[in-house]
Amino acid sequence: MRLFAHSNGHDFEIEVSAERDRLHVVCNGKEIVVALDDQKSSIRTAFLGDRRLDFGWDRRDGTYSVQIEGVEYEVVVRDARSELLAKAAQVAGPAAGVAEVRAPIPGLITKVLLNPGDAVQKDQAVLCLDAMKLENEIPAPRDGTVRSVEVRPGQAVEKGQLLFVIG
Amino acid sequence: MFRKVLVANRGEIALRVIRACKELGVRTVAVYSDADRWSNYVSQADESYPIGPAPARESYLRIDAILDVARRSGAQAVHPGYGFLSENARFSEACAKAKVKFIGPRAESIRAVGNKIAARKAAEKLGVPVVPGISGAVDEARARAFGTAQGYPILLKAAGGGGGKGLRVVRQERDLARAIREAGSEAGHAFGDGTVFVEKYVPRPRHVEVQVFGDARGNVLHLGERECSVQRRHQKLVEESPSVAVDGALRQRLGDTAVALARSVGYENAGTCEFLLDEHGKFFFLEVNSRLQVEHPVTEMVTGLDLVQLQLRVAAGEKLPFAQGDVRWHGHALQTRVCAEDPFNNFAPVTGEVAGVRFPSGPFVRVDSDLVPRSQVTVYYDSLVAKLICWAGDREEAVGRTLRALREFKIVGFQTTIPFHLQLLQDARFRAGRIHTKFVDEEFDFKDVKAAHHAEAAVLAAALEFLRREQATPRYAGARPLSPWKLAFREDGR
Repeated sequence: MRLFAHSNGHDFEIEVSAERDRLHVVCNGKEIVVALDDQKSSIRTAFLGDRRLDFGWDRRDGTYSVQIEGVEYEVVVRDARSELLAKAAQVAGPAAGVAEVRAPIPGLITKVLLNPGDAVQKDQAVLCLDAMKLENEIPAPRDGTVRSVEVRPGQAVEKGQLLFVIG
Repeated sequence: MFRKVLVANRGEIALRVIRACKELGVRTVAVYSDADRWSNYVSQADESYPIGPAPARESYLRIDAILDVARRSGAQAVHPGYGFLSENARFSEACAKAKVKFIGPRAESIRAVGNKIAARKAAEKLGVPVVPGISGAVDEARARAFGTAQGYPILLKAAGGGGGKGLRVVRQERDLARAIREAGSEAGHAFGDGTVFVEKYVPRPRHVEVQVFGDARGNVLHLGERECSVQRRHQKLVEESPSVAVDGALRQRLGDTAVALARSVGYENAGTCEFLLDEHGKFFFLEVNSRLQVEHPVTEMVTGLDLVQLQLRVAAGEKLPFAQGDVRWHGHALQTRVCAEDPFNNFAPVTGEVAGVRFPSGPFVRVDSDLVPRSQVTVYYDSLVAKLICWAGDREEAVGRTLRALREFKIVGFQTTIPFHLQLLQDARFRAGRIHTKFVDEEFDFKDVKAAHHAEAAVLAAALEFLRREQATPRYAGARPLSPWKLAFREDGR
């Protein structure tokens, strides 16, 4: 089975086949024999070649989190068909002339300082995000008009969530 | 001793207090917000009550809701833990009014030390050295005048502050306006008091603090120091006791000073006097924390005392069961704070669900954590998810033991700060004890080791995906013999 894995900007083309109680894996041309334990837990152990390794894993929305030595790797695994589709989708970008500002970190919105329609200058604070125990002013990336504010005070936001749009 | 105690907190510290109560045969009452309904500590208590929605302001900070639970459950005392209402004089007063014992200092003592300006004044009155600054509220003009006279950088601090909130280092005059606005606003939000004062910025001090304890009969003593110099943006990451920079003579001077300060405000229960220590061994009073500290376990490990049990005892009116001369310190203890933060992304907080967790064990290893599989880490509360505390005969052994334990530690589901600690504890300067409060921000070079295992992670993910797909494809039975591990995987269903 041919699979494509993407981990934090690193791309891997991986061929996997089963051989008795182990897997034969070729990753970007390098061959390795993998044997996995039969635990049902999210902490498992595997032989990668001769090295045995305890690792954590989880799968959510089709994305694997693999944890090795305390480091979490988000790995997207796709087959050949969905890899092709994903590449085609990447071409579309955001509308020109509009700046979308997203939450740089998860946190709580404490204040919204401007309303849609307000003129705004570059670096002027549009709202405040309380995170990492600090209140962070989130500024406009450029001069313009506030097109929309997508959050309200008291709201919890996830990383990457749309906060406001400057046009 | 009390029959029943309400724990007005959540997470690891709620569990810590519940454990101490259980060991003393005291019944426990937990309170929880909607976000903590399924948290572990809730089921460890004898009784549990909901107190409101996830935001702390609508639950853990609601004095009325908590005292209502105390009344309904018949709790005789409330332990506030740290954070939330722990240093809130109004809460202490409201408890007294409701005839529920607040396990901590009296409201007057909290007020006397809780306001940093008042604490500075109290220290000055006792002749305790303080960092040059203005012992009073400052506006932009006064701060500007101070900055001009003393030179930059200067430090803006919230009078009601703590935990790095309302704190701003101002490196040049043109940053002052924004900093004073942000500090004031942050302090106003967090403490309901936007008052800000100013101190000269001490560039590379050690942070050394002294644990004090007082009983209701006026006995006050100290339990030695903790060094908490390993900080990142004013957030402590590693704490230890003793400090490599403190010898017997300095310990006594720091201890005497801390006890004098505590005595001057009639201090009862556990408290901490924080000091800055410069490279010449000169110390400056910083502030008093009128609560149990996150890092109290290192003191417990070197003194052999259970500080939470001690808090319960003195709150119940018992005399401190030992004198200053009886306090002995043994070996070295080190605490590392494991947080749901991404050290590879500027320590940004992360949220998520614990898929799996494996705590380290072995000799002299302690983990204080409320994490269990399926625990949720949300944006509503602190990112601290576990404290690893290791004891050993000396500092070097304690560092080695901590490294070993960190390598056993697994929290799966989100990134934690464990990789940061693994690197820090191998750093030669840290191991030599050459640390100060800016060590992590300015000197320590955290390496992005993430690249090392990308390919392995990809191989493992692909292997798991392969097995998942193979499982999803029905086969004729007996077409090919299946090994037990594959069968087991199929039952997993993930």
